[in-house]
Amino acid sequence: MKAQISYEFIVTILIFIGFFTYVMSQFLSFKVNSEINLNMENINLELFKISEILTKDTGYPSNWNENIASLKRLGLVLNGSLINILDMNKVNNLTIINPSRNYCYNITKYLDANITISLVIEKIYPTNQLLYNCTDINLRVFNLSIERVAVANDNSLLKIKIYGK
Amino acid sequence: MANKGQIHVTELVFAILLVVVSLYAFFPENLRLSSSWQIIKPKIEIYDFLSSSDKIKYLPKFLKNVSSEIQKLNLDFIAGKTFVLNNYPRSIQISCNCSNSTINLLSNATLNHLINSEKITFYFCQTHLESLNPCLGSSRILIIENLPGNNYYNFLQNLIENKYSLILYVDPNTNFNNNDIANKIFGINNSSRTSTLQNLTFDNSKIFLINNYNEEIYKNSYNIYKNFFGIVISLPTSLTEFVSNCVNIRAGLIYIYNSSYRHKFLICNSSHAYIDLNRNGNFESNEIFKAGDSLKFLGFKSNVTLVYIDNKTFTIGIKFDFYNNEFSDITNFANVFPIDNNNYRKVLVRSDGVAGLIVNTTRGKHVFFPKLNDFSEDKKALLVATLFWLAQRIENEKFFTNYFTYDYNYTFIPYEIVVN
Repeated sequence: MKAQISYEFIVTILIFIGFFTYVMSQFLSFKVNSEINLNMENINLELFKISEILTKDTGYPSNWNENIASLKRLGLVLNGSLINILDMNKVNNLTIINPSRNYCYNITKYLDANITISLVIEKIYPTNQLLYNCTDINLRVFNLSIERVAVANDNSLLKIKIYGK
Repeated sequence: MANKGQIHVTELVFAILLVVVSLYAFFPENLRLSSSWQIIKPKIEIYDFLSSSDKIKYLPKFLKNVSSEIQKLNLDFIAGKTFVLNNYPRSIQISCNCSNSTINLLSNATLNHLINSEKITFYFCQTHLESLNPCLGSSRILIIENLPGNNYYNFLQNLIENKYSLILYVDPNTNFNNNDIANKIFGINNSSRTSTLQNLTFDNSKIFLINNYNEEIYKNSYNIYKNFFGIVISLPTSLTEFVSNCVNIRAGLIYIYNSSYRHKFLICNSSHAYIDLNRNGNFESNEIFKAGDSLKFLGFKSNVTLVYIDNKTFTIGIKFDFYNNEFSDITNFANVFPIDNNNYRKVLVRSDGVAGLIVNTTRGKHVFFPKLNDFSEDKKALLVATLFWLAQRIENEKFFTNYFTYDYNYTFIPYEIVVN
């Protein structure tokens, strides 16, 4: 009869609303997951780039440790090294470039990093020794990290760990 | 038939199920962004660790006691990994398109030598290019004794497509110009060129450095060099000689450089051997040595290390020490050069640019190895180094495979590490 809503109509509306809600929730979760994954990809790429620069490049100028004021780009490889041996003098000079342990602002600047990072450099062989550490205390949890190992010019192994967020 | 206001329940349930199933079809898992970082990142990290450890010779110590070293190192990516060592082939088959006498010569030259203190057995079997018959069905190394004509070029190209490594074992005075096989497959010709020395060097902190760093050397000759300086050549005895104060009287000859450079040696007892370094036929008081001693043969530029003395099998083992630049004892290898003048394709280079052998890695791994009438100990080491390099193949199904070196009495010896 006129102006009467039948049960069939109600059920149909309910099914439609349910279906619409379900589709939107799936789409939104897909979108969110994609964004998270893309972000993680970006962080991983950035971490890899930073670790490569630190462990495979002398920095610019290549003898920046002799005159820290001249530093344009950070790199830890020994000036003139042919097989990417790291310079302990450059590692020790990181505390001059970025003295604060509470943020890595200058490290980030001289690496042109696009993410917030935390850097830890340790000697792992023949002895264990923390050589350098800077971390952003405002960001307590870091999503991702990369750990690289390299030889230093004192015949030791160094671990360079970079956290990123 | 339904009354007004009634819905068939089965129709309703079926419709809902259909909708839900089709939604899962619209949003499949593969629409999500996939990342390979979880696979690639550990590989990069482990490679860094292994190559760095190799550079400072920590790797052997690590591999001897993996579990305790892992705890000391405090590296996240290494925890839970297993390192399987020594997966390189221990018997290597080589097909040889050559005469019986050549096969005998090559077999004797490669007998009983040690790689990483283990014997690697080389089997040579005869075949013909016209009807190729690989040794035991598994050989992918083919030695060609005489330079084939251009009509064999396509045939050999086909072999290369099937992952064969070729060795051109011919008289270096052969005319290689205008031969496609020599020019294109092995990359050699007879044009004489002046070449600079490779400037290989070994710095005093025991890191293997190359002065004029060039990736070409890693691609080409580096692996043969690494093998060469790690192979321990086994020297048998067959003579009898009486020397006072010696219990054993078995003597042999060390053949270095050319046929006039034969040095007698005598296994005196389980720990000492006399070696006639100055080639005067006598064993002098300063010519008695023990395992680990360095030997300086008269007229030979490189030092040689006496690695072991075995008075049960009556053999001694020697290896060639790393030296700078010039390898003095290449003979009979005149007039063959890399066609692209790439100095790093040569192995063991003399001051005038002549080389012990020439490699070509443009497509696969192929070697020009000058034909010899006899093999001195250094040539044996060069042949074994070459065959071992050619036999190494990376299998894709392993998680991570790479070839590093093992420290054995301060030398390089090749092996493979598989990380799972």
